[in-house]
Amino acid sequence: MTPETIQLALDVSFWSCLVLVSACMGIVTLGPGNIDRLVATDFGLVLIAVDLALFSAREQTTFYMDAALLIAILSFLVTVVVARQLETGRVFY
Amino acid sequence: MSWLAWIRDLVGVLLLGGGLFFATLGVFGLYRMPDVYTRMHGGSKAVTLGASMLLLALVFLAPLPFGLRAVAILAFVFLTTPVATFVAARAAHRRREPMTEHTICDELEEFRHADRDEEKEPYQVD
Repeated sequence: MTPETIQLALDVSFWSCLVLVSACMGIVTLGPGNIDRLVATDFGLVLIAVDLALFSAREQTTFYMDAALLIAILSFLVTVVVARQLETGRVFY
Repeated sequence: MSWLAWIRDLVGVLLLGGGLFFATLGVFGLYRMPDVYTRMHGGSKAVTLGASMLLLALVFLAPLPFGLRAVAILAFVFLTTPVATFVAARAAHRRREPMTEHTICDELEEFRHADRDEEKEPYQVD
């Protein structure tokens, strides 16, 4: 395959992934309950990390991959802390 | 050698397409499913599979440094997304989020009530 085809595939997947992120943000805004908002935040952050990885491959620079890894770590942390807050009403003892 | 590179690129593009398909299914499940547990169930598995396929495509399509970092992100997503969804599901169950009327049985119901009896403070904080 030509490099143009690969670039087109990366372009299409980058923009489609961005549409999926905005769909998750729609759940965060409208969602029926707080747990739905929490889960949609987790998925949205994972998709943002994937989207940053695709973007850095599209731009031919590894600059954004470390940010993607950090966002993946932070999404886990955010989900655990907010779930604990919603479950017991406190984060720390 | 060129046909080998062609097959590598083809596998990468197919992984991109499959990853987009599964991630779209997962986000669609977030909108479509009837209650919070089924939304989590549909979303977590499909989004994890879609994200991992999208990241694995970079191993085939991009140079080596991209591939290494993508595998690191993939391993982390694979480790943490099920744990995060489990914690969210436990919070939902303890908050007594309503289930859909098609639910056949809730095997953890007695534990939920036992939790409530022993608990000093109520769980319902909103």
